[in-house]
Amino acid sequence: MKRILLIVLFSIAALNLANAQGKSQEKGQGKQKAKEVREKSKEVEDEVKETSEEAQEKKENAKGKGKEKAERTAKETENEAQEELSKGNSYGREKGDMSGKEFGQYRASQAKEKLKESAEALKQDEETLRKGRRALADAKKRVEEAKNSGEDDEIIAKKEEKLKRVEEKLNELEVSIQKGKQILKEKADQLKKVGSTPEM
Amino acid sequence: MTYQKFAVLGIFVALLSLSCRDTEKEEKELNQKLEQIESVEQTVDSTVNDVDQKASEVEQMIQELDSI
Repeated sequence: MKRILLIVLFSIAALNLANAQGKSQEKGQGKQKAKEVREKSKEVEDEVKETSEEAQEKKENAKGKGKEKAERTAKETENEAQEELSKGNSYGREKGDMSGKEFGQYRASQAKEKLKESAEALKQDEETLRKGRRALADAKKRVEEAKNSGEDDEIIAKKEEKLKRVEEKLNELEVSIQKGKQILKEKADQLKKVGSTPEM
Repeated sequence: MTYQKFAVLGIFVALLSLSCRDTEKEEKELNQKLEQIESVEQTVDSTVNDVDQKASEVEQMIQELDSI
């Protein structure tokens, strides 16, 4: 009977030892791999940022000069950047030697970073909205002045129609920004919940 | 003696399967979390793209307003 007890104890100890060893090895390798993957992803993100900035510059140039072709090229460059970014995220499930917990934390931190960047993008869009409102108010004043100075009714009507269209577009943008903010808030909460669930 | 051997083997197999089941559960939980994270990223991407598109339309219109 003692013998059996000994054998059972020995098996349990051996199993636990093997398990613990495996986990600690995985952790050690995982940390190194996590560092490597983080560095790699940082490089890709930097590249994408550079390309995006380039695209933005080109876009601004295109706007300034009103050249459709340049804008198309800018759009293509931006698309390339987006593709590269999505490629960067395509290892989404490739955890290498990282442990499940580490990989989960790493992906959650990536998503948090994305949320931050998106919030920044929305701020820029808000600035565009403010700029638009100011431009609209100025244009309205100019149209009013033109009306008072006796400009042709047909031209005034066309201008007023344009102002109306711009105002509608601005309102659309405002609603869309508000919705976007709400969605970002919800997603941040969702991400917090995902991160706080045990054993990730 | 044979009975004792079987008992030891049984315990050994039970412990082994218990350990395997734990790993499987962890993997499943991780996959669920990854799916949630990916869904969050996709929603955020499409939301921001939508707003950005509207903002660039507005920017174009602002330039048109300058000519009024």
